[in-house]
Amino acid sequence: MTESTLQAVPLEKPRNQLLSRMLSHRGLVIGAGILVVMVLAGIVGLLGLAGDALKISYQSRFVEPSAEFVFGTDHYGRSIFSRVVTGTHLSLLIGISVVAITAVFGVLIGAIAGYFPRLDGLIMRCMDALMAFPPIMLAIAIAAALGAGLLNLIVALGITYTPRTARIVRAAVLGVRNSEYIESARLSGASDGRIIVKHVLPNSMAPVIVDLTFVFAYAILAEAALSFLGVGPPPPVPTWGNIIAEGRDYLVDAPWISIFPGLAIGFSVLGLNLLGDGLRDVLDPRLTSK
Amino acid sequence: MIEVILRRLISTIPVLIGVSLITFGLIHIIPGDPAIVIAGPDASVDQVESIRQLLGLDRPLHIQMSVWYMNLLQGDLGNSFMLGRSVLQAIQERLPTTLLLTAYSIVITMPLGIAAGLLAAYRQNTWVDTAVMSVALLGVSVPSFWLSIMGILVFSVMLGWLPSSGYVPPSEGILACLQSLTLPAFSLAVFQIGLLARMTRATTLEVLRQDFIRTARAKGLAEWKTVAKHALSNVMIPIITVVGLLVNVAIAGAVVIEQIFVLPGVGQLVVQGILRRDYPVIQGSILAVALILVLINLIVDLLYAYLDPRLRND
Amino acid sequence: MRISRRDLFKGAATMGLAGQFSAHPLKLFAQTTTPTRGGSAVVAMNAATETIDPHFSRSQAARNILMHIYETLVTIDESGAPKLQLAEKLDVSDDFRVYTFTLRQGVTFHNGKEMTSEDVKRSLERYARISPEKVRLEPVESIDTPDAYTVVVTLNKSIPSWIELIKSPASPITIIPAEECDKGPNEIQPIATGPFEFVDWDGVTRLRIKRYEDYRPDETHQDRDGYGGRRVAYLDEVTFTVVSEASSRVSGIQSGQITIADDIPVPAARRLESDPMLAIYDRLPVSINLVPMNVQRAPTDNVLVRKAIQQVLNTEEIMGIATDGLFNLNPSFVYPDSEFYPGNVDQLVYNVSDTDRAKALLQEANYQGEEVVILTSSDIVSLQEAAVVMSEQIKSIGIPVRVQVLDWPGANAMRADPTAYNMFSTAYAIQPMLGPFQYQRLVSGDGNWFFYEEDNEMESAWEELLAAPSPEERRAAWDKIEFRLNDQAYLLKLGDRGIKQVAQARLQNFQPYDAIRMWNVWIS
Repeated sequence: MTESTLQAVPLEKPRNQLLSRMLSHRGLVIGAGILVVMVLAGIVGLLGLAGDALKISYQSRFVEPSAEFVFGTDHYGRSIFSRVVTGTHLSLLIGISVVAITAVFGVLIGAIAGYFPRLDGLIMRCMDALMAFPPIMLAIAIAAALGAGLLNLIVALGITYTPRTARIVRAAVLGVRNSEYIESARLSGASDGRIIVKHVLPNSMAPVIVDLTFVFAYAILAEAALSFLGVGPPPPVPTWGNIIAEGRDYLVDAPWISIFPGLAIGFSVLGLNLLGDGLRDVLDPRLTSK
Repeated sequence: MIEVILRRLISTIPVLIGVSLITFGLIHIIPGDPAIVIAGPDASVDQVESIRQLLGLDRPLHIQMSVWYMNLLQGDLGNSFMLGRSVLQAIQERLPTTLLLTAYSIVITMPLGIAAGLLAAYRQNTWVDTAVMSVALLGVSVPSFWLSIMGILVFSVMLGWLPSSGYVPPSEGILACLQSLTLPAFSLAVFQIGLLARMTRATTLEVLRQDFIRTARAKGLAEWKTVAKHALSNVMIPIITVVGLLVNVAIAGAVVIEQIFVLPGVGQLVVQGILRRDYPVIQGSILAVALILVLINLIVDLLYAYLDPRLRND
Repeated sequence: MRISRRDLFKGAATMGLAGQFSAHPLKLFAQTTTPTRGGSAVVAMNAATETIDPHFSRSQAARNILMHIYETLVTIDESGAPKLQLAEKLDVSDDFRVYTFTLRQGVTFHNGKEMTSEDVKRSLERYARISPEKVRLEPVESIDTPDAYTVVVTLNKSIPSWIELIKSPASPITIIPAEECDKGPNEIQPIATGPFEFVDWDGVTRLRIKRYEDYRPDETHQDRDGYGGRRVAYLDEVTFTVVSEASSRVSGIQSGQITIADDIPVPAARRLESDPMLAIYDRLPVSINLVPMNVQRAPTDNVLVRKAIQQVLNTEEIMGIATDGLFNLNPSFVYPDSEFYPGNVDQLVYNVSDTDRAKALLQEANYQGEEVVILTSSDIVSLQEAAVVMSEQIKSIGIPVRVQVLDWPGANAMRADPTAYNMFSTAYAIQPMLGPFQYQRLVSGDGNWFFYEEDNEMESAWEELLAAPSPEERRAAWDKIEFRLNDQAYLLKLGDRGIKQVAQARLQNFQPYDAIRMWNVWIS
């Protein structure tokens, strides 16, 4: 198998060459652009520049999208625009935190399983058990057990996605473990830990980075689904899933409540998928055939 | 081969034990128990306690757990606290709905997803490719529960073409049954079509680059014949894996979709079980779903190994 | 302070509402058609019943279904007062200890067997054994059956209000065949004496009943009255389905799939008013929104902080948002048509919305900035909405607020923990209709929901109420309880909530009540 050498290639390339390949990839640039827009919107929301997402006004309930309320208002009379923009930083926070948890634990577990064959069986059976749950069911059960909340949601999704990443890391580590390159490091007396950190991981990172962008996207989708089912962060927290859920009773009479946060999710996940595709093309050229 | 299958089957047992242990742990961390649900909001502490005794919930956890495992060995998943039937019976009643929904969505997905993926690969880097892949990308970017409520808005409220909820079992008419599942199945399928199209394209491109295709092309075979004869047959192997993946995705998606459309499936059984703290139901139905997923993944792995000799010794 | 039905038409989104129920004038006219037998109906509910074992049931969703199948010795009439159903006569001894029920003759169970005193005795015994409400039968010393149609219940002490306890349709003391009575919870066959008999149930989404052809109606009445009176099943079959998405209930009723839908969002109901095929009903009041305050946990351990919160609440805004405008302002815990409604109700602190006064109270309380946790459940949206609006109002006087949302069982488990929260946004559905006695467990004794350790004034008022022989004395005692609750800010009343029910105009003679009653209605 030539997999290992192919994967080992990209990060050893000169940096500017990688960058120029990235910049010339249209999807990747668009995806990165969307992510930048998200981050900007997140900052705007965090600073409260998009208006008060929690301000209730009995007089301005169910206002259609208009000059005063760009996205209209909900049944509390709150501005959907303020809520959607404020929700952006929550989605980013959830996405980044889940990616961080998944990255740390997935890489750690995957690397140990891949590098130490004796532990492999036990670790991967545990991962299999977690993966045998349909992801949403596991997250619902964990969220119900821990209680609804932002932190608990992040933990639930982190636990749900870690096995996946661990599998990918393990496969990548298995791919490079027996390469001549690692063999020579081992012969020169390097410790296992050093070999993993210095040699194995850097050379198996490409698929992991690609996978993590998709985990980011899944986390945003899963947050929305869980909030919709009522096990996400409690109201009045304006996560996108909560906003959609709050509009579900008024789909016909005030469709704007659910439509705008739905579009925001679609737009963000689209951006992350474009970014992931682009990174795969650039970092993992097996699938690129230009 | 039989030995391989047996070995793999046995290796699923610890996985399932792990699943049931995790479930057991989780459901007993969840605040509130079935006694509280049954006793109602204004019950006194004594009332709740007496119901707890009635349901056997006052026994220590390890006793409850060992009783459950002992019963499981005899093929008994226990009785629901609320449904007035055994868990096994409840699962038997619900499973067909979920499987039908899953199968329906995959039947929609397969031709559309594969055709889109092949088309895009064959017309790589043209506007066709861009257009098809953009749509596919949109498909995997939009949350399916949002699509389904928008689907209700458009197809049942505005157009009145499809029922907005409720399930008609096949015994009451195949056509009505399919009609009741159409909106849910399409809500699920959109994501899967996007996923399958993207995978098919990627796999096809990889296969097309391989030497035997180049050789075939060099021999001057008509292009469509090349694709049809050589590429497709090679693409089928990974597609089997994809079907396995799709079943996983569909069953996971069904959990949310069954809630929205009030379909009496296993996903709804689990969610309702959690909401009512019906421990035996949660325990049994999660185990059942896990068993199905594990078996499907097993079959896929075995088929894959069978079709791809390189992996047979793995 | 001003109470009552203020200008409810204020504000862009306040919806039209009036009276107990309203329907399109044309449709009222149409309702004078003569009853016709036949046809079937589909009832769309927003929640599933948790059980079909009446002795083990609790919820409104359960009542919606079970009250068609089951009957009790004593039930309630249209206004919630006790009413005989399977008994034709009740004699109560002067010391309120011996209750003698004379059963109606010729009443048969759905299996064809005639109901006798033995069935009644065994049913009461099963209820006392397994029901979450078995406390109602706790004072029973003995049950005797001198003949097939007489049941004598002897209590171990004098309880003038015992009928008030056993009339409740929440966990109804239904009569089932004696041979079912040894079975455990949820193990009985759903066989009883009601106008409809059970067909099948899939456990959550769909339950079907059909007319019981040999039903013996109570001929002493002309018409239905609450759960009692003369009940007639005109429909051949009724299907109860759970349609949890409100939008699906709306589209189902529009397409004709559904005959009657419960809990339709007010904006949608207003839109449907113009549809001549549909009739819109207001079920107001359906429940009351209330907030027990925890007196153990800071800062609500301080009565001045509780009073500050009481002062700042704008219940009109809270109820307006939580009900989409379909509500009545009402400071009392009983409905205005109740004999217990306090005469000086306008002296209760309610819907004040006085920020300055609230801030002054906080200062007087030497409030240290502790967080207030409002507990509520995600399963009942209006409770959650009330909590969200309350939290914004309380924040406006400088108290940090966190809304803690759990599902229903989780919230009820946490409710019992005095260290976990300060306020609980909840609702009472049938209790205000049944009257004060339902509140005893909530607001007094060891298990009171405010976790006070001692309140002699409250306990003695309850003793007065329970022992009072005359209506005047009972009313006076209940007045004391209402004012004590208000003065200590133990229990905040938010308002009386209503919901919209929408039916096909073909459905005749329907009238909103505690449960959706599909008896005495027909399809034209």
